[in-house]
Amino acid sequence: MKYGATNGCLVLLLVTALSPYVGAQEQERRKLPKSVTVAFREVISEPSKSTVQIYCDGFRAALGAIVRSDGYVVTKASELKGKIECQFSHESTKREAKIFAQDTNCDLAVLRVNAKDLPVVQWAPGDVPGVGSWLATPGMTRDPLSVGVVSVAVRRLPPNGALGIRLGNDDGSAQVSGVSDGLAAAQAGIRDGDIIRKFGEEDITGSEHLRKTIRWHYPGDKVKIVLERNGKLLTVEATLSSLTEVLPRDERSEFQNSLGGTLSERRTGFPMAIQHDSVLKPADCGGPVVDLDGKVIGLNIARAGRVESYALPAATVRDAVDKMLRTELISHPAEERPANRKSTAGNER
Amino acid sequence: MGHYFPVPASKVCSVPEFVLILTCPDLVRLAPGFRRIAMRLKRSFWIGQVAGVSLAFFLVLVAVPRSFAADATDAAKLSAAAANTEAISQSFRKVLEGAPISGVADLRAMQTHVQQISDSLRKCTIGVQVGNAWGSGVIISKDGYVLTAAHVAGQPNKPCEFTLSDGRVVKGKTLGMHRTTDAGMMKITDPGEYPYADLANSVKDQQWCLSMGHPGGYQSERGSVLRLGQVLLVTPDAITTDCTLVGGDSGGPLFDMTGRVIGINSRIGEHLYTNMHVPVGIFQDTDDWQRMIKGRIWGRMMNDDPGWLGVKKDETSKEAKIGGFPAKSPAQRQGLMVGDVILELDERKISDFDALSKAVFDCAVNESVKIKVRRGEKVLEIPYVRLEKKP
Repeated sequence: MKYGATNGCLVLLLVTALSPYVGAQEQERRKLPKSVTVAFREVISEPSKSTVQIYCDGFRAALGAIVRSDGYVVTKASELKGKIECQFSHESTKREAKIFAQDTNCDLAVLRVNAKDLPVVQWAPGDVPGVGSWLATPGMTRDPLSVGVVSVAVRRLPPNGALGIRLGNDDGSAQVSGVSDGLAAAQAGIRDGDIIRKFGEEDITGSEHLRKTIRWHYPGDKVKIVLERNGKLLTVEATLSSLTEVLPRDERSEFQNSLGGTLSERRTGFPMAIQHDSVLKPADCGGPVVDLDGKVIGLNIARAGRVESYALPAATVRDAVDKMLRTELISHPAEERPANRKSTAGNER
Repeated sequence: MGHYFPVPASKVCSVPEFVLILTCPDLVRLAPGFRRIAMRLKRSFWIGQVAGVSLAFFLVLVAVPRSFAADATDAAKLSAAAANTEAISQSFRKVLEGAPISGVADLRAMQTHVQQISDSLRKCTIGVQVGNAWGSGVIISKDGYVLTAAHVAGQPNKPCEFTLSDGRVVKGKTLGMHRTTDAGMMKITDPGEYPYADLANSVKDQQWCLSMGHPGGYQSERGSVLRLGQVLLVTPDAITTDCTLVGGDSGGPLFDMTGRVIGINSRIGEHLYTNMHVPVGIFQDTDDWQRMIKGRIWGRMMNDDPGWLGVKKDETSKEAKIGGFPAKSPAQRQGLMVGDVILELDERKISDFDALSKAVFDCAVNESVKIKVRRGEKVLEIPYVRLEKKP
């Protein structure tokens, strides 16, 4: 007992003396053994050439990937604001950039920069890497910004739309047993006791089915809902709320997830995502993520929690980028089109 | 290799001072600076996450692995580790134990290895629901014994539900727990054969390790979440790694690179490198495993002061013999006498005076303990000895 007490005191004293120094040095990045970092240098040497540092109003806001040699860069859309500038890995100066097109579904934006002969990112063909595969995030230096492994097989992340209703027990129909003030259902005129028969195109078979269906719609979506009220059918249109508005804030979960750094503002509702355990900051997202062969298997799209970062798989990014570039080029030849025109290409879902 | 981690051991050692017990609202333990936040957190509503008492325990894995060994042959296919201990070359084993890697080839070998074992790790990692609170657990025997965190179990002998990796929900109950170390045990009560992981008690600094669990609670479309990291510090009470953890991971397994359980996810600190796990191995030299199975709860919460019995050692004896009493001794007032040899404290065998000190240190102030003593020729039991605060 005596020993325990004495040791405890010593440890506490030491800690007090050392902690400010340690805290300042660590900066919340997981330190890899030197040998691992060095091994990854050759892995990322090619893809890092296609990695772009993006500044907004002078501050590092995101990374990006060069998608066309004549000055097109894809990045995370929701991090962009103010004056946008790009810095390529082979240059020390920043170049002004304009938003060319956006895909809010994937949270991607294509930027247009006045440049040519840029090294284009080579998206990996084929399967996404499985659970346990190494992933590295190249930054602007020869060492990777972060390294981790795939934590969860690729999956869709529900966008978490919400109506703001309570539902009765699942007995083969979805009966409303409560409506939250001010949210989608209340605004659409849905009332206590209504039975929801149809949600969008989906015939609703029960409470659980309705819950799932709503979660897979986006906040802001306008959805036609067929209700049964007093034996009569009627149709209303609701503009969906977000699940975060509906659920009570889970402060403890939020607090724990904030330990270790800030999270991306937009971090759910991606059509496909690879969850990995690389430690990223929100401003580290938007750039390529590579496997052990140096193949670009995706684009980091969100820092989502203390244990999770998300990457869009290469195929998803490629499709979205193709669509953004093609749509714009068909309607407006690149030379003539105003560079800052925003597009909603790829928004249909 | 210690210098690759700019975290002095003392920094990590300090963790109990500012550690958050994952998922447990009334047991949030924080440094003074965070106390205000902690107060707020206590009032917060924790969706589907674990509630209940925190703390940990001493798993005695010695007795148990032996008893499992008897039926190990027919269960070989079910055991994660059995499938994973395929021939690992000497040099690769060194890499897995934390030796500097020589290049991409080593990383590739590690990746292939992890990809191969990840499925079996996933199969023995389960979601745990006690009441409306979620945590994680790991199956460690064919008949469904589960290791978890004490603060996930909450109370012994309560019904709970487990969600297996294939989504199947089975019934179970909580067993014993040692609150001091946050070790807890449960059992699947639906009869059946379950995929399980073996246990390993050897843990070294810098060795690579894998953590599994259900952060944020079980999610059917996601399943358990893999994290790779390295052991940063091993102390008798905790393994600290950089496998990041968060609420809901509590009770999930920390594996060595052959897929054997070396720890149980327990709590986190402020930093990404303070993720703490209950070591599986340290419990091997006690008989607490049986207490777990019997559903006992013991040990003290992290913030409780240790109890004080107030006995002096008889230096001439190798046993826990009382040589005298300090002033105000609770032991003296409650019937113990000079010359008594203490044999058991709350059914824990006391072999010598050190064991007695440890056992008392593990109890809280105001806790009553049952003490068995040998007095002369007779063995007698003093059913309630109340421990006090050391003056």
